[in-house]
Amino acid sequence: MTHSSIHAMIDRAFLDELSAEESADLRAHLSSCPGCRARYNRLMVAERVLSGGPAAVGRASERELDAARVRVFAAIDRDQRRAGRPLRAWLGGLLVATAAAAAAALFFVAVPPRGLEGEGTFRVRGATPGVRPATLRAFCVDGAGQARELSPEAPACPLGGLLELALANQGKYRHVFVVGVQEDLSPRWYSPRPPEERSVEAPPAEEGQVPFGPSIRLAVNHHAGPLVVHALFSDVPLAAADVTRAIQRSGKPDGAPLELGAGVEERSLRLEIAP
Amino acid sequence: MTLFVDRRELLAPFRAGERRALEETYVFYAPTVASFLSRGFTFHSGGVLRRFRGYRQPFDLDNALAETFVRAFREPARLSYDGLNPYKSYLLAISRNLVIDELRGKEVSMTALSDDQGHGPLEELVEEPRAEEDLLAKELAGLVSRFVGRLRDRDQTFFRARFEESKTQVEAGLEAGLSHMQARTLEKRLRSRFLGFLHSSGYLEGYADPTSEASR
Repeated sequence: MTHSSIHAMIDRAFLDELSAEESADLRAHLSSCPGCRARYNRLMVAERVLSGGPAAVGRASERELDAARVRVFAAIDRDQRRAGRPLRAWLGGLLVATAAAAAAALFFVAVPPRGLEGEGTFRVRGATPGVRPATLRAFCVDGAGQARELSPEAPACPLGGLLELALANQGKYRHVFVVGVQEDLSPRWYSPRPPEERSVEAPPAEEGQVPFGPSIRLAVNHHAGPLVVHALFSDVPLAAADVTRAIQRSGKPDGAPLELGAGVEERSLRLEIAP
Repeated sequence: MTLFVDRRELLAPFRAGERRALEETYVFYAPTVASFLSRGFTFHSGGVLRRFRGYRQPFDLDNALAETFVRAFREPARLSYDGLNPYKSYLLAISRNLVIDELRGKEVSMTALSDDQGHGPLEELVEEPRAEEDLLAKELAGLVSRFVGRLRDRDQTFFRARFEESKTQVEAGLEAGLSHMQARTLEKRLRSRFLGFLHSSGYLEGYADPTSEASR
């Protein structure tokens, strides 16, 4: 596409004459062309002032909100088509009265003594009574776009899938460090991500359980086999070097604590990446 | 009003991913999320309090707005929402994390952020005056005024009602003595004429092309 044809598309976007496909083509071009993007932005700002006056110059117009809505639901429709079914809850009986209760049932499970390790493929470490609470949940989105929460009954996520994590910081920790470990003991940095090397800000307690961090592509830097995800909550940020040393000291990833000292509350999930 | 608290019956269909519930959620919260993304916020990174100044340009704002809701409407996120705390907070957290993830992926953008020692953590920023935007707003206000001044009376009446007073097409049409069909046709024509006017005024030429986002 030439710049003049893009300029013509930008004009048609202003006049609301683009099809969904043309809009997608235009946005794809604009994402990599600063000159055309500047022209687009200038015209869309004119739309803002046209419909909302000078005060609206920095505010999304109704048209922008509506155009974004179309894109949101186009993305949802694509997910549905990939999944081959309409969107509906898969959760069934796991959707209990409150998510807090569900989290408690999943995470506050007694851990067997070390001699019994290896029995079962999914073990969760929970909080000791009296310790400030925090929770970690994991969801698997498979190649067909189907999502499910990982559980002791179903701990496996395929190598081609996405792992999505959710945290709740009821104990009001200031920081969290989320890392994955497989049998090679090499850390997979989820949050922070390089070049950051210190714990990131933990989600505020009042927000409850929230998705945390970007989706984790298991096909990148992971292999089939056990994966332990550690969420390390603390008030003082941890350094990546300290977490790495703790991983090396802990040996085989079996969900055992990383032992980063007092002041660090750990939640871990032992999952299985299926080939 | 807090949507899922005041409209409890919406929560189950929302969690189930029913289209009408998602649409209603979007319509209700999109202006709030857009406002949050354009105002910016503070956050900690590398032990330093930083400030994200907000997406002011439509392209970036629209992308972030759409991506926020795509993430929020995915099954894991819908099911992670506990239905007890305000959904607004949950949604804005998704939005904030999306922005921070993006910024952390771009080293240049991270170093370009201002280090703001004067604010408390995570406070939402009030609307800040921005000189560049003020100039642009004045320029556009002048152009709109010149454009409207050239319209004949009926078209002026419709234009003011529709665009300045934000009335619906039907209401603006009634004020100008037009049927809905006529109002729709007139609006399309006025937009096209306004676009032509912007072209002829030079508004779409001769501006600086930013090589990085003006908001960072």
